[in-house]
Amino acid sequence: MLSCVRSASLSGSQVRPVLVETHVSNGLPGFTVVGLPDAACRESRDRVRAALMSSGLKWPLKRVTVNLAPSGVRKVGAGLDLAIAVGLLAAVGELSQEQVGDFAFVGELGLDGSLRPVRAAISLAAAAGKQAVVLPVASAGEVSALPGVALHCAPTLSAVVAALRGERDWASVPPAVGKEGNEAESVPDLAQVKGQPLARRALEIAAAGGHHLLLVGPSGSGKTMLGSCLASLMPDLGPEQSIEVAKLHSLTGGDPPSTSPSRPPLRAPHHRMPLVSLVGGGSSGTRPGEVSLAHNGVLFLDELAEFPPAALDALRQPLEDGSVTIARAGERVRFPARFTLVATASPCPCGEGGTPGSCRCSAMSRSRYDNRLSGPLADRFDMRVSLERPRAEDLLESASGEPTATVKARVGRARSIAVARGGCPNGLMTPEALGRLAPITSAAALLAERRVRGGRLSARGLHRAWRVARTVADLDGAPVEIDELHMAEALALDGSSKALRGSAQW
Amino acid sequence: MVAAGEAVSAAVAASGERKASTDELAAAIALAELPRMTPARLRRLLVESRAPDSWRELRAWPSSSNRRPAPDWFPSGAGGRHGQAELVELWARTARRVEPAERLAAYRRSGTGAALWWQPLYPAVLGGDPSVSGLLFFRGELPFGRPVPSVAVVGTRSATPYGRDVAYELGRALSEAGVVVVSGLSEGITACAQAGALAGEGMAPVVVAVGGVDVVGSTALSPLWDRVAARGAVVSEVPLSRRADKWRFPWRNRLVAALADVVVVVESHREGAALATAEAAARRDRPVLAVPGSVRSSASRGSNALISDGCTPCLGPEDVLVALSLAGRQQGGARRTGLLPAAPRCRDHAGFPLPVAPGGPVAPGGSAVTDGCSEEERAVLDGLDDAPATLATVTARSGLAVGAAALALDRLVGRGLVSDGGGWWCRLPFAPPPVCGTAECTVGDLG
Repeated sequence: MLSCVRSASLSGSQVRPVLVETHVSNGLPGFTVVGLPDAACRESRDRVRAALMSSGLKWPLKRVTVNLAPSGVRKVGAGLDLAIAVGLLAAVGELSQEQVGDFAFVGELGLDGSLRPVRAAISLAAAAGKQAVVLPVASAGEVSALPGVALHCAPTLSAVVAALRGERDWASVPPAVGKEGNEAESVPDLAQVKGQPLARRALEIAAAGGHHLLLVGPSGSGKTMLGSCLASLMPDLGPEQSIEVAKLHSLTGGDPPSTSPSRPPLRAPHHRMPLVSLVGGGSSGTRPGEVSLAHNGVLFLDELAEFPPAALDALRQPLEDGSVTIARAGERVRFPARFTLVATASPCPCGEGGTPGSCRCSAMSRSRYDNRLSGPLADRFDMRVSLERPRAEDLLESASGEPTATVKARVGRARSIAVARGGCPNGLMTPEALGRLAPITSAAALLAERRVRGGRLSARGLHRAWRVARTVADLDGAPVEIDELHMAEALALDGSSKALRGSAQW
Repeated sequence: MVAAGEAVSAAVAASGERKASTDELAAAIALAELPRMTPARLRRLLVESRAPDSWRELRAWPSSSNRRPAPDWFPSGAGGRHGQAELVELWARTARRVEPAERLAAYRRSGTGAALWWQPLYPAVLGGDPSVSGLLFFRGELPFGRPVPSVAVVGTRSATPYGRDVAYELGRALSEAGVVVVSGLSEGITACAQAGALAGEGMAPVVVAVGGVDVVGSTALSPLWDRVAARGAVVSEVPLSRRADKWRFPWRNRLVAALADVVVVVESHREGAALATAEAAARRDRPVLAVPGSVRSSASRGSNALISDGCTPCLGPEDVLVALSLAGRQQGGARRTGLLPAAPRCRDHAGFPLPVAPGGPVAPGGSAVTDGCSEEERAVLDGLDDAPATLATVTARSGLAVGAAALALDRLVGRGLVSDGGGWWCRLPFAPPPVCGTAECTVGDLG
């Protein structure tokens, strides 16, 4: 009259294994769920009863007690429905404990007995801790990439029961949620970008090395278009990385990532978005913010100067540590957030300040704007490139530039050289690793030294340029030493913020 | 010429013919510090009446219960008769709390001088000008005590490298010819002109401040401000510590025009403030010169318009000296060399052209200069002219890869053939003297 079934549940952002114990005894007929269920979880008794009856199974006219162990931890959501139903069937003898003991069950029940998808299915499946997991068909695709888990899925409760009894086979697992075409639709191809050789090159370097990139230019210079191209240039994610990404995205509970799970995500939050959705948090369970959703991908901040200072300050921790820690009353969560930052900005409020002698702003409004852009965040960009409006000849020229696919192939080669050398993209190399793994020729060293002596390059700036130069050398097929040409290019792409405003002097 | 520290007492000592002038200066300072004071109002209190009388009258002004109409010589406030009464009452309230002698002592302590319109220190050129207040605050040494020619060099804040160079060279050449360079001190043309005037051993320049003489426009400019105050003078009609309010700029521009014998507009946008200075000078029958600029540059639109309206074009310092009737004062005679003397355009970190090493004029850029250049450097040089271009433009024009173009530019800057205006490169018209001739010579080394 007692059964134990494994499952998993969300509490806040943490995913915990849950043991569903069901006890059926004589007494006044009733159904109680204990063990701190939330409202959705408590309502599962009505869903389970209806689903059992719709599936042609018997509802016991006995006293039923379901305990969700560990009992002291709050359980959130309807993902335990399937486990409760299976546990009940095992307790009344419709299924044997041996038949259900090897599986963990995750899924929400409909009143008609169908299985509905659950939020954070991939995390739940990983946490269920068993070799075999039973999931709704609609959630199975998301989880299929998870290694080391025997995955079973079924469309309805009766199909689950039949499969457990050995009367029928499990449904076939659908392929991973592949929206391969999606990226091509929403993101422009690099071939559509006319002119801008410098910015194209900077994009290629940023994609290959994971360097942060700031594009500065007047309105109409194509900075938004260029910035949104970056993610599509990056190489595919490895299996571990794509599972990290999928887990983070599944925690938000909504749509699966807009692209295929092996592509780096592109997140482009609007500048008026609240701080909580940028960093993570929320009242009903802590959810990852945009910085974590961009993990292993690209965080694209269009019009950087429009973001409130608090939002820009909040970016400093993830840029430094590769993760965000969110402390709330009930829990303390650390989400990974290692992204490549690409941002765009105007050189000054009127937008014309890039060209010497053509700014129309007052000194006051310019200095206010400069203060917003400068500061610690501006120092984090590895490359700062100024754009000009494309010339009419370039726009009308029929010959298009290199398409995304060509550049992506080069980027992939350079990235694999870098990963083979240092175990990470060049953008993440520590200064210590730079000295060890990225030797430079004496001519290149002289070039950098002159900049440093001239007071135009800080120590941090030197390391930035060094990392970028390493990527340039990788792209140019020089995997050993960084040459003068590579260093010159890296230094040229690290335009000082003053230069971008076209005012090197007063 | 008298240093500012003792200037007040010196001014007092020099005014033998007027008794109790210390009182008058103290009262004038106290009047200038009243709230809502403008140069025009101050003029009525100082020039059309005597300062101590105005001050006594204000302090004795009855409180609002038995209000009487202000005397005719009193300045009018906004809103006619009623506004005037309100203004006078505000002043009277303030005046009762202020002791003029204390204010004078405070100015002495801070090293700020003050000169009244009838005192010998007061610039003679301002005498009879109806738009000045009659009281001038200053730091440093006022060069106006004896007849010295003065030239205002004015222009836009958002200047091109061309404009900055021209302003710098003009400032230096004029100061070496013994001319006082007068201008405001804000970013762009005026800062470069002042820096040029300080570069040589010539006449020290004068800055006309918008706010008080201790209120620097921007922090980037404060070293330059201090250098001007140490060698030349900073003058203002505004009392100490008053902010550079927007409405004070036209008054300042009028004072610049009034102080100068000739006004030179180096670069001005179509509706630039420099044009207002030029207009103020034209109204005083002072010659206005304009430096011609590229017709494509929006920073030269205003100055070019001045030329098409009939202003004399300024093609070099000699033109300014001719306008001052001082031709021949320039060192080395009045050769017409144009504004491009043999100077290297290596710049220091602040962007100033660095001082020239003695090298003499060098042949115009051409075959001899590019002899040691590599293929890439030549390709880059061919794609450059004196309009500033970005690296993207250089790359596109030369057909080189980004790295090769960047390296070539770096070397060309080292050779002194190209100037680096912070991400904007342009070709220099002359080869430099040997001091800059090697690729190893860098801006940092020279600085």
